[in-house]
Amino acid sequence: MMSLGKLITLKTNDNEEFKLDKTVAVKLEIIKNIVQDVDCTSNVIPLPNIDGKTMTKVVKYWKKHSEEGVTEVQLKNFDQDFLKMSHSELHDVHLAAKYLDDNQLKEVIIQEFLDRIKGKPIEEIREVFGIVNDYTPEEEEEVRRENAWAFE
Amino acid sequence: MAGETLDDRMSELPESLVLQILSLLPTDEAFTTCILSKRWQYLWTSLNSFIFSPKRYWERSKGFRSFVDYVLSHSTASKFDKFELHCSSPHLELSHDFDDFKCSLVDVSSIVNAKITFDITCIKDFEDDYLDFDEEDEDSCRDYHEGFKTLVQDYLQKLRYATELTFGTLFSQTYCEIIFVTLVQFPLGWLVFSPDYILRLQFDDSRFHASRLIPQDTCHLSPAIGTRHVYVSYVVNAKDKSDQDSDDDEEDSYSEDHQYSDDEEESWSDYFQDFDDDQDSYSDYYG
Repeated sequence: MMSLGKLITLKTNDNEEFKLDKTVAVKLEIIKNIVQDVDCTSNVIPLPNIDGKTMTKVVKYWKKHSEEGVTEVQLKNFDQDFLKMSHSELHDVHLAAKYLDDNQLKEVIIQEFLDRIKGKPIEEIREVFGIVNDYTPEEEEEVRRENAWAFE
Repeated sequence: MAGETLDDRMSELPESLVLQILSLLPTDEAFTTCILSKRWQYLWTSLNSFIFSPKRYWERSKGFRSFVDYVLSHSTASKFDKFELHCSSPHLELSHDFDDFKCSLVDVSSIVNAKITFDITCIKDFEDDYLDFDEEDEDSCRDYHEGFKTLVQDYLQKLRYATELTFGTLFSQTYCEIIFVTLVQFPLGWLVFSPDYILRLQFDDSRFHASRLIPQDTCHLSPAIGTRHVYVSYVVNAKDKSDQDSDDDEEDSYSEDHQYSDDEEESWSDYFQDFDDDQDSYSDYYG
């Protein structure tokens, strides 16, 4: 096991490096686990599944959420801004959070996805997520008819 | 076609993520995603969390039951993580509609988190004159409740591995029962099938106040007429007391009576054991 220095460096698959302060890192269980798993002599932890653009977002989230004296309201506002991203970006962050085993971030992302589709009419869900409707009009009518109760 | 130039990333989301998102939606809303595209047509069958809540127009029709039946019978999940069933219906309709409820089609025995809210209204206006029931009323009321009672018992047996059970106004239904048997014993035996697994029992009831559960004794129920939303939560955990902490947010709804000491908690298992043994006598009352 390598020793924790003052800074821990995370290196993404496109060689972008993120230096995390030890005080930030220590609060993150996940980093501690990675540190323990990685057998290397330097303080660089490779993240082969995450690119720099995504990691920038994740680190931003971590830093805000481990800030000293940050209030609930501030975090709420931060999250609101943080989540203003395309759903493909949102997906990338979710994958990163999954890889990093960050349950909190995962939940936040899933909730955001949910908010984007909840209560929306089908046409709008398609539009928001750019889902291509590959039903023929006849097929779609058939599905609607079979499940009429749900579309009333 | 303009649609084809759009980024279809939602469709490319892994199924597991899509299902996580869908499982947070009310099941009927999750179900409507079958119309999105062919990829989505049968995605809902892999859901393992369900929140069934009847839309207003479903309440008096068979639509809701048909829908629940349909979804459960097409479910490919081997294990349910969450099962919520909210019914709001005059109990006459309920007993007819739910008599042959097909939840037996799927194995619900491994549900870990169930919330069953039967928000039923008794035909009797017993808030005013419940003490004046004559024999005739007893019989008819008992009949009306029979279908519902069967359903509840059926559920409880299936839910024996649940760690968390929440019942809605279930005891509005047993109200008549209790009056009929002159409050001799409360049919708690119904509820306790596998005490090791039940971490929390919650009764949301508008008419009853379960003042205290005393080991080796029956549950004393006192009618709290006119009291709405009396929440009674118990943490029953034979294995790990730390779980009790997770219930802190429920504290507001406790009355002081509901706290019990560690000593009492120790004897819970004995208590349940006795209830298991006594099961037959409850059948006599309520079978």
